[in-house]
Amino acid sequence: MLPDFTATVGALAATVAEREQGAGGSPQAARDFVLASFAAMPGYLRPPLRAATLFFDAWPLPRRGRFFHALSPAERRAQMEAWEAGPAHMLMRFYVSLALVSLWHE
Amino acid sequence: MIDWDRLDLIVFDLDGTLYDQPPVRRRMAVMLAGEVIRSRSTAVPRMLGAYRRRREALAEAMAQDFAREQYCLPGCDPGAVRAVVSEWMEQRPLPLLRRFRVEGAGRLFARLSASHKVAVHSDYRVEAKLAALGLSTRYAVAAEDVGRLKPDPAGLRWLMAMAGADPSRTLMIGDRDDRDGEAARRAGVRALIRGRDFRHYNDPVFGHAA
Repeated sequence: MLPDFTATVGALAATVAEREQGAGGSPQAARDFVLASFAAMPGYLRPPLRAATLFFDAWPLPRRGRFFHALSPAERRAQMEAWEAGPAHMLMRFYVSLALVSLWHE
Repeated sequence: MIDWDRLDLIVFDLDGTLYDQPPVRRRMAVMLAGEVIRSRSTAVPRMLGAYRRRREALAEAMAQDFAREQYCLPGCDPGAVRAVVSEWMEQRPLPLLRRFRVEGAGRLFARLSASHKVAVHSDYRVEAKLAALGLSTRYAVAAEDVGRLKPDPAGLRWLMAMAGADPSRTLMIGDRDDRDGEAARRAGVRALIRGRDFRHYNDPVFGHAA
């Protein structure tokens, strides 16, 4: 198993959707919107963001033996909130912001 | 089939009808993400999300004083909400709009303006967005002008009164059946819904317009 960018974005977006909206959230729509927004970003920003996202997908591997995207929803949320309070806060704010916009009513 | 010769007034919705909303929204999301990183706070996207939910709720509830109530969010100063909405929903998207104008909109506006009365009816402010799209119209009304959001037909009725048009000779063109289509039904006006009845303004349904 390898780090998976799409699965990681999906896991982050789903975690934000669930945290903001509870069980009634729209994780699939949030994931699709965040991926589409990522694709619309300037080309020079995408590779470093993708690399950082893959790095953080692998972050739980030494301690938990699984990638971030393979953690349970509760574990993902705890990990994401730890990142939000730590050195990964900028990347987390980026994804949280995109996911929040995805939750706006059309 | 639309008999364009039997119409006097053509009313367009704006957001999603005259420009494609999804690509604009994605680019605005990236700009907002930059703001979140710069300010180290998710307050702006949270406030904008709450504002949008508030407006949807007010539309359903038929609020009487919606112009004031839309900015009343829990724990927020209405003036601050108004400023954030103005910056992020009215001003910053403007440079993006022309690029995502719906195909054929400019030519259709020009053709219709020569033979019909053309109007724009939006729940948001119209003038700056219309100018950014490179379009102009004689009649325009926003929800704040009539104090009601779609699907309340107040805006549509206001436009028909201003243009001296009868409902049977008016056509509403929008992108949401639950808003534009429903407002048209309540006003006794026929509607064309983008995504359901047409995709762009070079579609055959507009072939005989003007």
